[in-house]
Amino acid sequence: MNRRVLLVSGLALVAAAGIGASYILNDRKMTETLAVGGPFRLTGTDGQEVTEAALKGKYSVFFFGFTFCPDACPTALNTFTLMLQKLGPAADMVQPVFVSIDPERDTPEAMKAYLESFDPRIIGLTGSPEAVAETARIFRVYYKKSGEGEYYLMDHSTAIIVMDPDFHYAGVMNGAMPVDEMTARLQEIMQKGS
Amino acid sequence: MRKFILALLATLALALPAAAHEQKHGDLLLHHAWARATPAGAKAGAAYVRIENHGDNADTLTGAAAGIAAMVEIHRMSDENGTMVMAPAGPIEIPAHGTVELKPHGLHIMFMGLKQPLKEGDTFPVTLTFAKAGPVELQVVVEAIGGTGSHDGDQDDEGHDEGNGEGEEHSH
Repeated sequence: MNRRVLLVSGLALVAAAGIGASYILNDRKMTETLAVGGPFRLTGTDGQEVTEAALKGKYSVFFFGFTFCPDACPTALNTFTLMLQKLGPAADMVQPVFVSIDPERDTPEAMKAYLESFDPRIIGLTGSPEAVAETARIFRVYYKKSGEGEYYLMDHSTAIIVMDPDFHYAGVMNGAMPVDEMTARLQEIMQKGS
Repeated sequence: MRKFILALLATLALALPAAAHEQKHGDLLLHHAWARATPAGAKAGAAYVRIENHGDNADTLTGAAAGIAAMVEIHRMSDENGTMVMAPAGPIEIPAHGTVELKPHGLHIMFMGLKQPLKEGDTFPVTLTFAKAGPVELQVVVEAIGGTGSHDGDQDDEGHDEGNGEGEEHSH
């Protein structure tokens, strides 16, 4: 009996992973034609509502992650920190945004404390589970809770989505890119848009 | 003065191999155990180590323990078509005359419920347990948040020899 349950849930997991993967793959191809990113309503680290209105006028660079993340998230945020330094004056046109896909753990206070270890220009956004799910849908970002209990993990897209100063989709990068590559890619996206 | 500097350099040269620390345990050689410093308030962290098996028999890494966190497990992180997936790795075979590398974007020792932040420059003990070689205590060195575990340069050189980021298993 247990084995059967295990088998069924295993199959469901494989199917879910497959759907997730194909969603992301399709996403890559569709980004040019379908809208990626758009109006959202989330909560800043001060507990106040933040919408896309606050980000217009700059290139906003969205990374979706969570604070209970030992590797990919601190690495991406550290890369953002170094990228802002590398960009020099052009950094004034860039607004990095870290969106939590783990609203259960990531309160505004937790996000605030976490981001203190990185460049202060990076803003953190979280919200209700519904607000986060809706934002992820708009940005075509996949995430899923993995594991049970206090120490569950989150599987999540590593795509970084760049929105232009009018808050239209401008390009995509990857959170695992080394800083030189990410900086060059962002500069390329910004040149194309200007 | 010059003599002093030379002496200092010589001392540093001697000290370097110790910095990239190695530890022998039976047939196993554990090389450079390090952890990434954690951001303020972070409740999770990760450590990495290269495990070489110089013996004629395979061994198995069965678990990890450390006092710094409420729960410690070996996890595998993998990038599946742009989605970062993390899960407990289960027992990990260290092949005879083979190497398994725990490194960023792959296998790692996962600390859950950190009791305090991991601060750059600190060291802390972690015990790895092997099926044959038994338990071995490592001193893990905490490196910068942007650390990559490589000792040949700064963080910019991340990735150029890192392959696809899986915890690599290969023979030598």
